[in-house]
Amino acid sequence: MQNFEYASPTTKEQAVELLGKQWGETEVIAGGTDLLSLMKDFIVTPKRVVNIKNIAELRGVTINRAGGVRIGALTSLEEMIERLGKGYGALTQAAKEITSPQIRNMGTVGGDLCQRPRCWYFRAGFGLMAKNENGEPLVPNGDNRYHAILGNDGEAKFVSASSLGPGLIALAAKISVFGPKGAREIDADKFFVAPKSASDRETVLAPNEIVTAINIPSTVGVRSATYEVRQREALDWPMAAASVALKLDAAKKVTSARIALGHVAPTPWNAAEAAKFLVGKTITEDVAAEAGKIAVANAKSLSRNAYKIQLAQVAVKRAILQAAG
Amino acid sequence: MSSSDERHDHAADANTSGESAVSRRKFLKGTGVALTIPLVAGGEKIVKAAGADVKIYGPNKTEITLTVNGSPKKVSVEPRATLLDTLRNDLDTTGAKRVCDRATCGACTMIIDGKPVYGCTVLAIEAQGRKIETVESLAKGDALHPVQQAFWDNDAQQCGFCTPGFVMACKALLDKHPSPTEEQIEMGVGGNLCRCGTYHGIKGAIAQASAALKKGPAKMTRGGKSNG
Amino acid sequence: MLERDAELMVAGTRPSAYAKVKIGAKKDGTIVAWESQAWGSGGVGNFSFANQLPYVLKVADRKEVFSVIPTNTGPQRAWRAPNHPQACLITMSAFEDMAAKLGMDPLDLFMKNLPLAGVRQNVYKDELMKAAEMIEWKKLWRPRGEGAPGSTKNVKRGLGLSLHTWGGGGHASDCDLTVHPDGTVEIKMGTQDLGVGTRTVLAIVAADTFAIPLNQVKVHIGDNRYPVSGGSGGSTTVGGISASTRRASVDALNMILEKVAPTMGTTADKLEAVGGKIVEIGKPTNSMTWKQACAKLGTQPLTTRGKNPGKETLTTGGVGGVQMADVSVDIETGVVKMNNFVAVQDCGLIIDMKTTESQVFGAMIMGVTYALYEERVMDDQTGKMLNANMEFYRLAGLRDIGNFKVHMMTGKGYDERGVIGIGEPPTVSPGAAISNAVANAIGVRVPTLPLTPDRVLAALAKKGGKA
Repeated sequence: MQNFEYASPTTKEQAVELLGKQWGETEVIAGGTDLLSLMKDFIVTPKRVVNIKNIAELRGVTINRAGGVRIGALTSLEEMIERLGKGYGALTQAAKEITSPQIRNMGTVGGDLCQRPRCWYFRAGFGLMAKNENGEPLVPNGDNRYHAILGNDGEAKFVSASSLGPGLIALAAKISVFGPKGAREIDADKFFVAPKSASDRETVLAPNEIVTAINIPSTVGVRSATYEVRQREALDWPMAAASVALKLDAAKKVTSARIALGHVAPTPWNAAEAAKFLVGKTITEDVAAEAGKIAVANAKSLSRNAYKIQLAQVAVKRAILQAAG
Repeated sequence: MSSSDERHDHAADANTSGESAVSRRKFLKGTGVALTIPLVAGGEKIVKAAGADVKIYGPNKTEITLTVNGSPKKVSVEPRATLLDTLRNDLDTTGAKRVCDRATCGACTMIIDGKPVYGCTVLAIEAQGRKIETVESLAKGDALHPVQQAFWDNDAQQCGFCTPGFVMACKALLDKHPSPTEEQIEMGVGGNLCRCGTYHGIKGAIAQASAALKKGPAKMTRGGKSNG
Repeated sequence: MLERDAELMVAGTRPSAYAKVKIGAKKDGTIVAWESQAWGSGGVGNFSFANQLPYVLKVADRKEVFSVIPTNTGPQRAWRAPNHPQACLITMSAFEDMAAKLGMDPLDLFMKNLPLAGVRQNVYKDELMKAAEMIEWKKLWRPRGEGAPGSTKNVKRGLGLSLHTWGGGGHASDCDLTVHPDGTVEIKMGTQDLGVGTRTVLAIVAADTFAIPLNQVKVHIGDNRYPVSGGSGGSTTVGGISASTRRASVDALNMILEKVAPTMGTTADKLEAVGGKIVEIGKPTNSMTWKQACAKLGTQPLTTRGKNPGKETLTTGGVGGVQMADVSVDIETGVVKMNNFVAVQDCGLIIDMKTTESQVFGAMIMGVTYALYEERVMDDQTGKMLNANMEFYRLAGLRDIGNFKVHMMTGKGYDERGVIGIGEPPTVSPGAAISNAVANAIGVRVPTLPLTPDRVLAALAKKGGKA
């Protein structure tokens, strides 16, 4: 690991001022579960690391009277699981699927959203866009078994590693961020972006902005679930995942639906068409399966990852059935 | 005595130490989080951020105090030093093992403020003021902790590299769930890997330790059941 | 300490192997012909297991071709039973495929062809029957693709079996054993304990010979100053170290018996060590405690040097084992889960059952891991290993292994063979047994290990979709 200078501010204003204006100069550390590994492998080499764990206002889970909830960015995954009730199944299930208590204790909600892709070319030092020394892309002709099947038209072919992103999109959450110009709120759906160059990042955050909280609107009447296809029950990265949030009327017909996929695209993937299809329908296995098909209708496999289309489709089907059931 | 030399050098980086100490105290008091950042000497400077003085540590060594298994330990570290490396290389506390060093395998599992974490992925400088427990804290003289005794009795270790981490993960599990369900057991040690394949023994060890801990102070003797 | 990528590069990996196999059988399941064309790579090293095929079941009429393909991907490394898991998978899957083709229960087909196993065919027969009983084969097995009881629309259950062999034996070993006048015993040996129970075995052999409690024996190992004993490899450690220790212990005991015989009014050949005492055979009232006997040494401790007397004395080689796996396969996702896994194994005389069983459990867990997860992924554009980490080079976790049962063959026919060694044999069959179970569950062979979701789904697609 390259050495760095370290600051541990106590207010978000201080934190933001301590951060650089260019990516690469500084990094934010919270749980550290991703950042330190990236630094050990010299994938990121910041001159300064800003620890935000001593900023008290980034902590805590507040449940509003109206039914919504504010989750401070520093909330650990474990604490989130313990504090959130049933309506938040899409989030708590996703966090529980991280089957390492150590990661759940260390990893923060904000950190989950900001973690870097697990693309093995990126992690081996070939850059975010995975290119060889001649600038030729490595993913299309390489081992892309875990790469994107959706949103992979651009140079970014990795998949977002966020576990909570799809659940937050399904629950129509907003992400609070704070930067030099003050606070702003971003729809979870708009928070993630596919970078255009290797020096960009995978979220809309500026280099000197930090996530402060996640705000989830009332989940009264919402049934939500996350389904991950993982090879191992032990700590493992999913090959595909889906989060679903449904509202049903008295006759069990869907009145509103939101579906997002994980680990299939450079961002968590909002499957709006599949969600729209569900509205007005009663959930059956066939209806859920059809929604799964719609969710991957535009998927395009790379040379080795066609199986992920099937996995994503199944994840959507099973998440819908779980949410409805 | 290179570390004291370094400290001397870095004291010069900071404003004069007397003045900054005063403003530091004021600052900490004002934000109501005194002691969150323990005061440290050397390897540091002060910068202005959002109208306040904020300390910058490193990149050279700075002296910190870690509370390891109940004892305060002073050590000089660079900010990049992980807690695991600091314990192993500087504080002669080698129970937690360095294997993957990437928050995956669990061999470095230790308990910080009551919760199991990966020591390889905590910076030592961040661990100040926190209660750090490693496997060394468990046995009292020759008397093994019930989890250790259960590992012994169930032959739940082979090469032993993963064992200290597994023992701490199991202890944390049983602290939280004294009578764990099968799912809680599997979730509780889901962040630890064993290459030799001792999971069968570990499952048995957790069951035995759970029963022993519920009975209250268990008979803890070195030796266990005879393997003969 | 090396980072994982450097460690994997210098330490080496298990060689890959591929094969095309044709086998011929009579309608009753008797295998009559074998033809295999196999190739593989040991990286920069040479590698061949041409003589291993067909594995265990040596079909008389056979033709084997083996090609070695060198690659610049680092060296190969002996990886617990070198070459056997590959040869076993290739052979046992071909036999199982033939059983499916003939509409036979593979247990019956393997039973029928046991004469091909030669000298150990009766061992395999007993082991097959025991394993079948433990996994309830006759109750649960269904023809390929039908799904064992408990199967659902999307999750298919299947059973598979495999058998294996290994040499083992005892490597060269010297042991210095000292009996102190206070009755304590010390062993010094330049051996090592990889965590497999070397210390335990040394103490047990001496304690059993002298009929004294284990805690009277102190074991010193892991130092070059001690007498030379072999490295750990080939499942020969326990044989070597127990033989030299037994030799040293028996010699020391005989010398002590000589010393005390006059006092006891008899001769050494009429004395034995039993329950912490030296006793006249057939006349237990004439006895002396071990401590009293050792006091006769005076002030000088007694030291003996024991050597492993070599093959077919205290140790021997050659074992057989049978494993049966019960798996569930999610045919929508291709994810394979272990339900139950049983191993029946012989390894001659067992010195310590607990650590023996631990070796078998460990081998089976390592086996699940290589059958389902472990794979080195090399990038053919950059020559880099892409998964030189513990996230994508997957090992099974505690939750992934299912329920295990181990049965060791002991008693007549086994114990008198002497000590053999157990580290390697039980790691041979898991790949084949689990692959056969998956084929049985989903109705089609997944032709590559590890059995990852993409490969399972590809095999299902080739077969025409649903299992």
